[in-house]
Amino acid sequence: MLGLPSTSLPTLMITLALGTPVLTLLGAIGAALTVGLRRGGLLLALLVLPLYIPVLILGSGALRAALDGLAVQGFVLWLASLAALAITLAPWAIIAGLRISLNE
Amino acid sequence: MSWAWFHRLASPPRFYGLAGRLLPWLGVAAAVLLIVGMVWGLAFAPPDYQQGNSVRILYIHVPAAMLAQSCYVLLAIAGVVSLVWKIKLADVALHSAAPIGASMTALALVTGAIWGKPTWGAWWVWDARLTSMLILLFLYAGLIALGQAISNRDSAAKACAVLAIVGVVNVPIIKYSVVWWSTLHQGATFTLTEKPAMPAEMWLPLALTVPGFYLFFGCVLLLRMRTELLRREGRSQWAQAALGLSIDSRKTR
Repeated sequence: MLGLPSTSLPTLMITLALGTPVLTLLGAIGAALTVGLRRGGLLLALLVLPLYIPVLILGSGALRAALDGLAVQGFVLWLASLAALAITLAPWAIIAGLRISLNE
Repeated sequence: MSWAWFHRLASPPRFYGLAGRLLPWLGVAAAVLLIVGMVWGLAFAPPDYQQGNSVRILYIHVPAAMLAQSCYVLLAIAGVVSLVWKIKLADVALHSAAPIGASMTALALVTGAIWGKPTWGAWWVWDARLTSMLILLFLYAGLIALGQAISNRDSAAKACAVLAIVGVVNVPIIKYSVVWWSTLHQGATFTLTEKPAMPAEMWLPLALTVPGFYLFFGCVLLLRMRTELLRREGRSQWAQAALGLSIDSRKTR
């Protein structure tokens, strides 16, 4: 499936399950900061992409390790810690961003 | 412990005066360290046995990269101070420091590419440290862009503070990227606790240029902050007095 050997699919599923909340919440932070701006779309991309890259590196690194038969625990644990940080702390940043945008 | 000094420092006219008195010392110290360090490193230090003379760019590349990361940490601290204690001077610091940090990141990337071409054979590789420094550059760019995009200054201050704090997660990733991923970029040149793996003739100029760069950064930051304070509070009495005094003293000559 997806051109990958079936042994790497569990890793793929785990990294997707952990990475998606992080990407969603980081995107929400960016959206909260730029929602009140006219033509804020490009600025949103500029703000959010640098924050996305660690997640992308970790996720693709985990899959690469799974394909090479190496240990994936390191990558998965890092993704899990990013997910924990994002789920607990991102709402405060989103609140701050929305307050700022409401004032605008 | 009394925090009164902290709140006293946050008053613009006091900071303006203190920065004005500090600037000549910082400027002279930075100039001396930079000139001595650069001339020594670029001209007189011995060439590396493997890399030849291209190793000399170390004396610019390393301080610039260190400063790029330190500046972002400074932005995050300024963001916290601005949000928690609502001190406007912290926002002035954030606004003034961001372009300097961005320039240092760009300088580190460019000097790194110049160093990489003869030594690694490539201008750019998607190595962990290079990629994370590039992310830092984009973070700076986004921060500066966000500050310009929001017209209300208080909202802009809060937004930039939030973004600076969110992005500071990247700085430990950069610092430890050479430890976690051994791809291409070499490990740390020196740590605070161990002697560097270089002979003294090679790391002594570095010990001069690194403080020189930091003092230069301090100098430029204070200059920019003073200008920004005058721009923001130009109509206030202390600013008129500060400007009026310098004009009057020129008239009496």
